[in-house]
Amino acid sequence: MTKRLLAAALAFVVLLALGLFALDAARTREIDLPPGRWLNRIVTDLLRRSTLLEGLAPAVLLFGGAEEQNGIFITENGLIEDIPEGNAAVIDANIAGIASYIAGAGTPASVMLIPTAAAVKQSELPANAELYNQKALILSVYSRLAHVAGSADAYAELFGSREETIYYRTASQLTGLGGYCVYRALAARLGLTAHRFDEFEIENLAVDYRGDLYERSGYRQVQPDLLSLYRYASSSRIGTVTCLRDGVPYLYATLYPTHLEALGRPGDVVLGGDCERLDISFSAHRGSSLLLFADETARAYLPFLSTHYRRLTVIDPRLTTADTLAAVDPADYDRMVFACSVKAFSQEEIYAGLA
Amino acid sequence: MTPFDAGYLFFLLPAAAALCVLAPRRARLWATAVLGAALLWFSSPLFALPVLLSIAFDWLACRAVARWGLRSAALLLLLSAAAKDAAAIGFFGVWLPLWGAAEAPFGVLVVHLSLLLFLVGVCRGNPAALSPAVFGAYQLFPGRLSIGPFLPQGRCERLLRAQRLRPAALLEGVCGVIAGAAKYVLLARPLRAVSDTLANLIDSDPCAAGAWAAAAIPAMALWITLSAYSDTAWGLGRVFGAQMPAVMRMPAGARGARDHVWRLNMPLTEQLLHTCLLDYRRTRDTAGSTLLTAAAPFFLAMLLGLTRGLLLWAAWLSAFCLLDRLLLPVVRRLSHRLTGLLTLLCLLPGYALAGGSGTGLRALSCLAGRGVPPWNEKLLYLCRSNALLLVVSLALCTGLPASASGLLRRRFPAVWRLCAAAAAVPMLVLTASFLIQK
Repeated sequence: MTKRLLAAALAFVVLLALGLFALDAARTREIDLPPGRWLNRIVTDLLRRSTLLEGLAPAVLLFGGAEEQNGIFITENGLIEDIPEGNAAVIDANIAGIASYIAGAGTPASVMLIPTAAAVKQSELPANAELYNQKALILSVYSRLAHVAGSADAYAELFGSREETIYYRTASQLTGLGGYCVYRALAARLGLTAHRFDEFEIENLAVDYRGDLYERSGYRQVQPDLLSLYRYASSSRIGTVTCLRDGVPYLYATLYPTHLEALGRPGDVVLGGDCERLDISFSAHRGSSLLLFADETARAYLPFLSTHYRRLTVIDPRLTTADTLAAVDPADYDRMVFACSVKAFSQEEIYAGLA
Repeated sequence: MTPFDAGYLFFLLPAAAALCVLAPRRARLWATAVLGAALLWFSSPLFALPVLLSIAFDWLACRAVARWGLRSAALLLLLSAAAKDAAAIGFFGVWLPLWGAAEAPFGVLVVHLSLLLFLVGVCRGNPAALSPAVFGAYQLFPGRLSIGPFLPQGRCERLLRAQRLRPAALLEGVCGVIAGAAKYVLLARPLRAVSDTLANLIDSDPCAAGAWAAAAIPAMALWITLSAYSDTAWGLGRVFGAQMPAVMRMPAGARGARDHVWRLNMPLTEQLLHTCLLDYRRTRDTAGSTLLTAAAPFFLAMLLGLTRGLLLWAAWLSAFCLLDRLLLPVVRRLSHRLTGLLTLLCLLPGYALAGGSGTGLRALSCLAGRGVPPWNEKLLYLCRSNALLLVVSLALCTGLPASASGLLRRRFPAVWRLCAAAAAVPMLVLTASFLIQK
């Protein structure tokens, strides 16, 4: 009897293990993992379904004094990403790329580096925290490119509004208000008269937005964000947005394709999300055109900036292909702007491909 | 896979424990061996079968000696088995980590070192006859595959033959396993991360307090790691009905370098002495025992995954073990506390070397504080960010919690079980939470 029991128990364990293995292999199609790692992954995935377990460790670490976890500061007002020291070679390559492109294009150009929350909201960060000196980098880049391009001081504008909600609590991006600050700085450089903030109608989306930092940190006691859409009230212009993603153009008859929220992509409601090339055109016959080489930070200030132009083209240098880039002729535009976050500029060769 | 992985803790171990509970008494030893073999297979499927064959070969060699004595063919078989074990130790313990730039597969070193010590014992006249179940269960006992305990043949046979499953022992065992996992996951692993950050800090912004921290934090990380392995081995022993001895005792209170080394892995040092000296209890203070104790850190470094840094650490401890014998008459005149403090001050710098010679030597040069500031902002930030971790680890390393727990267990076993069970639940939840962090 006991031997049968033993045999049954052994068979049960073996069958259970094989069953889990088969299920998991069918789900992920990864059966080449070593068995120990595979078993760990299955068990870990099962445990991760518990929100209590997922959020407990970061909360305990915070209680123990770890206000920075996985390169993210946990503050009273939300999550702030810490960025590492800039890579000198990458910075040099980006500067060379911009200088070379401007020299070849002949179109008037401006440069803008947008500081991250770690630089603007330093007062909210723990004392003695070692931070990258973003302001020094911005000034150095501006001075090195001064002979080919003007510069827009987004740092001063954002720093002046540091008490406001200019960065999302759960994402490393600028909010609409932060985008407005950047727009003001850029407008001053481009010779535009910035619209007043109260000239824009605000629509709040009824969705709790949780951004990239929320996913990365594991800390769950932070309040979700509110997504706000800004529409210029004094104009009846109809904007058309063409978003080229993976070689496929997506056409939207609005700056805010809100249907994407229903598709589970609330972060893409503004201008359709990340794309290699974004064209915004308006029905007006007059107005100038702008070519923008920018990362995802552009989505914060483009709704404001677009009110001044008949046509805007935004190229994300990280996502774009050589063909897409070759199809852009800077001579077709009145102005060019190179704008990205300090993090992207100091860590990735975002503009090196333009050289 | 190690005993501190989620797959092991939450699937393999409960399944194997259930198997052991369900199995008839005669089959329990086999069930224990099956879990050990499963752990080896899950960790490194490529090496599981060769390790099992290696154990089988050594058992056959012992069987031949038991039958025919240490003569001709049996002796040849025994020597070839010992040579095979020594070669495996040399390959997996020294060549692979130092020159092959790879870690030894989990459990392979412990099994082969244990087999080698066993065979040396047989050569020295220890009884060679063991049933295959006892031999296999001992060599593959899941709790000892990390760092031991290494036991004399007679003792391990007694322990395993007395395997008895009782609910109270099962509860104690589960609490022990959880305590071990919690120590490793909640304390030792984060301490190692802090230690790595400190090593970078010593390179970029050296300061005297940072140098001492660069010595003390790796020491705490190592001690807590060993303590975690010790608790797991003891706990698994209880789960499977055997009373395994403790592997380590916190070395912070050691009097002398040899005491320090002995506390790091008590069964390993004792087994080395027991195997190599005829009567080690009488020869405890001889040159031979000092030399063997001085060799123990190298074996321990090998079991922990040999690196050049750990080699330097072992050499440091080893040198002080040899000095210890010379200084013992002087040291004995001092008070216990002063001796303990002196021992710690002498041996702690050795732990700074464990991270690597470059950082270690820089830390050593900064310990006196010459030419470097006493502290800096970065160190303060690091300490502040890990305040709770450092305080809890420091408290644990004094050995006081273990002493208090031991006292409570001896005096009021029922109260101890209640407290242990009450503490085990939140510890398990917290450990699981830390294990699933990306």
